[in-house]
Amino acid sequence: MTLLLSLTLQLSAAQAEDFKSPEDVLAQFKDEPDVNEVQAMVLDYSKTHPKYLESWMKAAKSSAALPSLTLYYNYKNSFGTDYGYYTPEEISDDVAEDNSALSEDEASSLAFGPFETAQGVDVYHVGAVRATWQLNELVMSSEEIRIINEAQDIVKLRDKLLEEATRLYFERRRLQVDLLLGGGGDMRKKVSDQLRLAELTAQLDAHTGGQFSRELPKN
Amino acid sequence: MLVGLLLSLLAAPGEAQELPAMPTPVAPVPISVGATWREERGTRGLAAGLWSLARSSDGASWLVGLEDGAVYRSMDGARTWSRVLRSPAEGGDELDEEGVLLLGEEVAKEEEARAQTTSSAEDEADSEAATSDSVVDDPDAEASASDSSDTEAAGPAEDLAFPDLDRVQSELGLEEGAVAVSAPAVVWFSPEDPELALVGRSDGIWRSADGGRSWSRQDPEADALRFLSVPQMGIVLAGTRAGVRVSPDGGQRWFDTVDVTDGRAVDALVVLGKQILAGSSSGLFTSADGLRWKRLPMTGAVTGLLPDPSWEGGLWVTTPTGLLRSDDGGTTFYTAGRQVLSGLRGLTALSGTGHVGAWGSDGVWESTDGGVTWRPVFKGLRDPDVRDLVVVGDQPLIAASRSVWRLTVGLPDEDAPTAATVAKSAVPLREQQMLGTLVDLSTRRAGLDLDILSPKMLAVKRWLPTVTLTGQYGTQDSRDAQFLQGQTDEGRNGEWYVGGVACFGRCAAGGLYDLAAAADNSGSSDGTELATYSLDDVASDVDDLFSLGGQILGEGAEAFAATNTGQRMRKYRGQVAQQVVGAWATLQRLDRDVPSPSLSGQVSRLLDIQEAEARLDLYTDGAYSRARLTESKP
Repeated sequence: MTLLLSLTLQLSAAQAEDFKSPEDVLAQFKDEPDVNEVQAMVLDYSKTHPKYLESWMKAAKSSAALPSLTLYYNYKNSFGTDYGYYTPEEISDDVAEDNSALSEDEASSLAFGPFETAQGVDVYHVGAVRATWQLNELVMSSEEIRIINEAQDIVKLRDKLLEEATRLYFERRRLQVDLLLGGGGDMRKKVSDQLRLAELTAQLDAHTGGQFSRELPKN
Repeated sequence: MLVGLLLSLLAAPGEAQELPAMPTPVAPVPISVGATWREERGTRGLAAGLWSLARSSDGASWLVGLEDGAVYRSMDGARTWSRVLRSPAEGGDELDEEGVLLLGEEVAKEEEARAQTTSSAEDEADSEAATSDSVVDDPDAEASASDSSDTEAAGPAEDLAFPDLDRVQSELGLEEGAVAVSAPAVVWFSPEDPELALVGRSDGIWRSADGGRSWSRQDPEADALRFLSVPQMGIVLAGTRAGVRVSPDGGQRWFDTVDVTDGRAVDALVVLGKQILAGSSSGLFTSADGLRWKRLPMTGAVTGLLPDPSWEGGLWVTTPTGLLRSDDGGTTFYTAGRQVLSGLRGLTALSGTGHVGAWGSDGVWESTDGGVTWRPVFKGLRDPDVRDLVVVGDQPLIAASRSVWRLTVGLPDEDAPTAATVAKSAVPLREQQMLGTLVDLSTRRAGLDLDILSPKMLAVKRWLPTVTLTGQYGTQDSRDAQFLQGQTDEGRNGEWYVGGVACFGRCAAGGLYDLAAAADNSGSSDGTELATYSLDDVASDVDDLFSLGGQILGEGAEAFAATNTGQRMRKYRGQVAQQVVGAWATLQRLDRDVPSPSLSGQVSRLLDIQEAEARLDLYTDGAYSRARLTESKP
């Protein structure tokens, strides 16, 4: 605020006769950001630059070219053990000899066991990849329409912000010129004008995240 | 067409064939560049909204039909208007016919006597008046009506404008508005005879043989929506709410054509080559003689037809949902244009090859590339609900919902400023082109480009499949030990496969996967997730997956969403274009203004210029400054 007031008072000291052309008058403000720079600040601060929209639109279009992927892996371990009961002969000759005293009927009814007779293990590994392309989405997708809608809102927001910033910028500049060329005037009006100048600067700061004031000359 | 030509040459090789004369291509000049709509205030005070507009072929008379059925006439190039036919709702039609006739004759005699004392030019009594149901006459329309509201308010002017019906009505003791019958009036001038005019409305077809001054009702049965003169056959056709009617004698007698158009509201009639086409509420019909009609394949509602003068058999058709194009005389159609143009009411050919105008509830549009891309003609138009359009030279006049509007910059017509005035005041062509470019750039920024919402793309989309590719690899390690035999077997089996499914139509992702899974069952991956699917389910899924019904253009949530988005976008594009034109017009004005002698005035002007340029940059993403920079470089 102090900076602005001092700048304004300094400029107020100039006389209209000191300037030969309108360009000379406007040259007094050459150290301040021009309107294009202010618009760029607004775009930057509001994140509404066209490049964002273009990248969204491009992404929405190209995303359909990528497939949706499904990966799965399946592991299966299948195992089994067989058990059996055996007569002495079936087991071995030694066992048969040890039991030779048995009658044939007794020997046949005698069974040893259970013994592990067989063991089996099956291990399965199954992996699959499934890729799905929805080719119709390459042409136009719901997602794309949604992004177009959002993009439209962003464009409206951007236009509104830039319109407002441009209006504020030139209102401020006209006020500066009035203060510069206006010369005298009563103190009440001077103070009122300076307050309005500070207000416009603050509003531009609100649109640029304070960048506008930071770019103003220090002296 | 080329193929047809070659076939005809082959069919008669010995005969010398003369190639059909094709129109020489003429580069179209956009009417929208640098042009502004200006309201003709003479129609502001009318009691009802406007519905139709017509101009006699010699330009001497204009007619405008209102929504309540009343008809007004202008003798000064559509600037001031006088009423020549009252609305049916005002009760004129309900008068006793004999009484009307008798009183009408009396009044006509009085009028004739009075007219003889005031103007010799108006003293020819209309011979048809004696045989009419009723006659209204506006002998002084040309002289008295400087403004329509004045005409309505001023006593003498009103007396002169409606001598008979007012008196007849008062003498019969009828109250105004006793009968609330109201329908729009459709006005028409014969292209061949500037004196012959017709009006179609709810109480029948009215005819005038003196340029719209006096009227007689010829056909109380018909409620005509459109008229068409076919001079090579000597007939006039009327598209009515109940089919086509035909008149062999310039609208004096009317006959119904007993055919397939009966019962259908015929709102469009054109001659296309050797056939006559009729567009109705339920399709398109064709006839070679105007009497016998047959249906063409198109069955949707038709609101307007326009033959393409540059292409034999070429035809544009407006429908409630957009614009269609046929290259074969109406047999087959495809969607014309990249934009969604809804609410169109009619089309007109403008000068230049491929130069077409369209109008409707969303204003006036023009295309200079045969209907592929469209841009709005909007500047200054505050009433975009356009009901009718008449082109004079290249200068369109429109009947919007509340008044008549004229596009002021364009090729001169009889009302245009002189060449000297144009040369002095017209904006340089280069600047006009610059404006066109800026409007184009501002409305094609990312997020505002309507081209990406093409209905054609949505139609194509419905026929593209969902493709699923599946790759699977599986291994099986097994070991089997037989202890009794002291033998151990080990094995390793592997399997892979790749499969694909293309699904057309409404594909549910789950169903698609299941179908793929069923196909996988042929593998040995027993026990995996894929194998759990029962083949019994496949048939129903196939039915569902391959159901191609309902693949109709415009159906589906996406079409609605796209249409909605397109409408919002179009509305905002119009606003953006207004802003650009406003900033551009400010620059033009500042360029021409004499600079103020004071320093502060000059600074103010410089700042105004900078602000207007900044606003142009704002809406064109800086393109204006870049263009000026390029321009200033040597």
